[in-house]
Amino acid sequence: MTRNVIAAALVGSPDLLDDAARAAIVRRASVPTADIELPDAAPARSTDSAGRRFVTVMQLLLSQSATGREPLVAEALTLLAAAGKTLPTRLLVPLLDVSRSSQAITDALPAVLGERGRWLASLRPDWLKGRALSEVRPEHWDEGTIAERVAWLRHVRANEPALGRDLVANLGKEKASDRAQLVAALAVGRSLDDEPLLEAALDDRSKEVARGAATLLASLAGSAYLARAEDLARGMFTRQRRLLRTWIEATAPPADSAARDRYGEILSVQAPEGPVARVLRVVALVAPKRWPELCGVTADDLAGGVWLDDESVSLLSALAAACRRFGDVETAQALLAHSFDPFVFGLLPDAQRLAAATTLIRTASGRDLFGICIALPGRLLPRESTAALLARLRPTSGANALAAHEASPLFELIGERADPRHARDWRSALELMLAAPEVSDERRDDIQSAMRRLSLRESIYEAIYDKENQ
Amino acid sequence: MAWPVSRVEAAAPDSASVVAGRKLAKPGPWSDVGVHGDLLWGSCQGSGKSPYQVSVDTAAPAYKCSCPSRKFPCKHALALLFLWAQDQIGETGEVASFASDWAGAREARAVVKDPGEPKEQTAEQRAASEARAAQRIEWVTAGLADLDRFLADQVREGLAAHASDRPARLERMAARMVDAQAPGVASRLRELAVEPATADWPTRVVDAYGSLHLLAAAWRGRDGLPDDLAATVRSHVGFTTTKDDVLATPPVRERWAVVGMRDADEEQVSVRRVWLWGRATNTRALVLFFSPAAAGLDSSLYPGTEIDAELHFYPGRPRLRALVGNTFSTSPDVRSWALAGSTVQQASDELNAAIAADPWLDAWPVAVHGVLVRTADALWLVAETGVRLTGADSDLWRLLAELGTDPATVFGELSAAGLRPLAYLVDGQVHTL
Repeated sequence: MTRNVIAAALVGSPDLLDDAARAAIVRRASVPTADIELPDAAPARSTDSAGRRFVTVMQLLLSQSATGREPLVAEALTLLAAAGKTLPTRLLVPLLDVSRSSQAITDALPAVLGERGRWLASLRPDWLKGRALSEVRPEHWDEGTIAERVAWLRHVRANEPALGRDLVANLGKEKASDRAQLVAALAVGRSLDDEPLLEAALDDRSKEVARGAATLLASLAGSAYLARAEDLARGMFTRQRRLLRTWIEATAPPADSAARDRYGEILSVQAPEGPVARVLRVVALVAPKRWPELCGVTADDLAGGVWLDDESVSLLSALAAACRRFGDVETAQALLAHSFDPFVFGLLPDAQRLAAATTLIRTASGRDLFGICIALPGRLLPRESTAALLARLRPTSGANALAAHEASPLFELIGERADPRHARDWRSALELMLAAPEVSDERRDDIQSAMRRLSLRESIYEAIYDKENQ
Repeated sequence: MAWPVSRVEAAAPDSASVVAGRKLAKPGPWSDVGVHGDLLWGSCQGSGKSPYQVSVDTAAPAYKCSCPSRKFPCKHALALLFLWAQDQIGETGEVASFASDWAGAREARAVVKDPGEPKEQTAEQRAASEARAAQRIEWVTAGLADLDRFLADQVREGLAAHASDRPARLERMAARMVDAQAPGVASRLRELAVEPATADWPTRVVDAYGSLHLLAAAWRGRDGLPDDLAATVRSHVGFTTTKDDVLATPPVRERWAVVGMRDADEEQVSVRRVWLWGRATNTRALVLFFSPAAAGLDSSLYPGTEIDAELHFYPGRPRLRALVGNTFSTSPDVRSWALAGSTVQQASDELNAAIAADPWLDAWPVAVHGVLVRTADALWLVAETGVRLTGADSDLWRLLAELGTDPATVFGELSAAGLRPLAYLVDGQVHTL
């Protein structure tokens, strides 16, 4: 009847309104139903989930702006996992939702989802960005999602690298984005045996796949790829001497020398395209310890800078990148004598960094302080380092005082990474700063923001370890 | 028991107040805080010399702050409630003097407020009032006759002929209904005017025209209708019943579980719909709260709580809209409720019966006991047969997270769109979405 009524309405009909009234009632009383088969049982709710207080604190945290809450949410999840607990079901959907825009939360979430949460997350591919959450199974290779296929490939590579290589030997029919993910998964268990496959992938029609293959080859000691980089490096630097002056002269590789190897795509350098950028890329690719054999100079020599076409070029950032790539602690220590680089500092052994931290924080320039702090081992700032940092941040520090743009990120760091178990101590120190008459309005905002974040993190910590509210 | 965060948010006048309240919800600026029974208080140091003194009656609820804000409750009251929600305010024996003074004054006012006998109208006032009522009926009758002619013209000429200027025509007719003092009809016309022109617009327009035609016809024949149906027609046209008249009807005392709440902005005011369910009799009730901008909606009835109270129902059928009269006790949660939910077919039958009683009704509260099933395009609640769930996507996923595939009783509004879940019952306890 309804369809006839609507058809009549479109062309006009004098008796329509009475029929339309009846149709409206019928439609309003028609409930959308269907015969649906019952599914397999979902996993039970976890019995070890965090309590009501944790839910309350997290709900408050989730209502804050995305950028402000991200590190705190990630920390809360990490703390929860460390306490051996899972998320209460009430928080599963809000957190899976925010994981869509945060890698840190995506990384921390799987450990606290519990069985019910993993089941739920598997129902929506956009949650956790398609990360495979179920156990890896062989049938996933043929029937699973790309995340499940990658998970299976990584599993195979960890146990039988050759078998994994066979799986990806013929990827021609796969989508480019899938091919890129599968090639990237070869990072697990990589060896020189993968070289032919990766060399072939350098010519893939997809730039993304070729870039992935180049990245893997560049980290494969003894690869032909690195040998080609060394060929470019050989003779690139020569010692020069005139009268009492000595210097190192650089000769840039030819412009088209590294096109196939995609050096330009895997290593971004802080220089416009040209001879300088080409020199920096080769330095960043070659193992620092190889320079004496290749050019008769050491990495330490190169760290002092070179000349290229009458232009002074600093190689510190490129050498630092090479140190990171090859985990070269010895060269890292030498580079730190030239200039502080937080990433190079991060290569030093934990004990060495911790031992140096307090002194460095007391004496470093304001520009380097932030880098020193974030390069310290662990997510939380050590207690002594926090105390030293707070001392530097006091507005009465005189000549050693920090500029506003230097202090602001450090207050943020205190708010986000000072140990929440000692939050009261940190808050007391911040309150003292707040009470100082010379504190500026801008600094006051920074201090108050740090105090708020500390309080929130303290609440999270207490909520996780609070037995009364479990 | 402290309120959950969502209840504090529900009490706020707007989202900006929630943000401001959260910022202040840290121990730093607060002193002299405490809670004793339903009374919560604290002093908040603002930019001024003296701290603002904040008191909250969490049972009523009612708020008092010495700050000059015109928002109600203000950010200080909300911050105090957020602190309480985080268990950062402990029970204390001694109540701050400003809080006890305020609570005492409230009690005194409550005693004075008892209106006693209503004031008698004079004969002149009665005559004037009757004349105004008769005049309005005349205007409404003329207005609805115009409306019916308008609808007949529209369909005689064909909907397709007026597709482009239909919104303007509907707006003009809505204005005519305002003049005719039929605000309920005006509101339906305005809603129809702003309906998006999606593929199913002919269906929606024909439905709406048919329903309005039926309302106009029912108004014409109201003298021949049963009293309760005539009251329903009056209500849909836009006649209101005074609170005093409703409170004068016989009360229904029950242990009412609050099973759902939904807020919406309607033209000049915000409206809060709260669904109640009588535990002993399965009676359902809908309590509406209205609020102008900058004033918080009443949050005295919050989902998951329970009141032992007398409800007074508005005239009309099916009996649904109500006012809360005497309240004897409140409980922060619903426990040990053994409600046998219905099947989907039984719930559909209930909706059919409700629409048979009130042909303009859109949705009916139901409690269905079933199992959730997710298909490629929808979430269903299956109790013998399945009903499609509707509403906010995040609510549906949260329901699935909570229930998985465990059987549970789900409360919701059943309509032609499907079942919109509001809350669920597990282990005798009501949990809200």
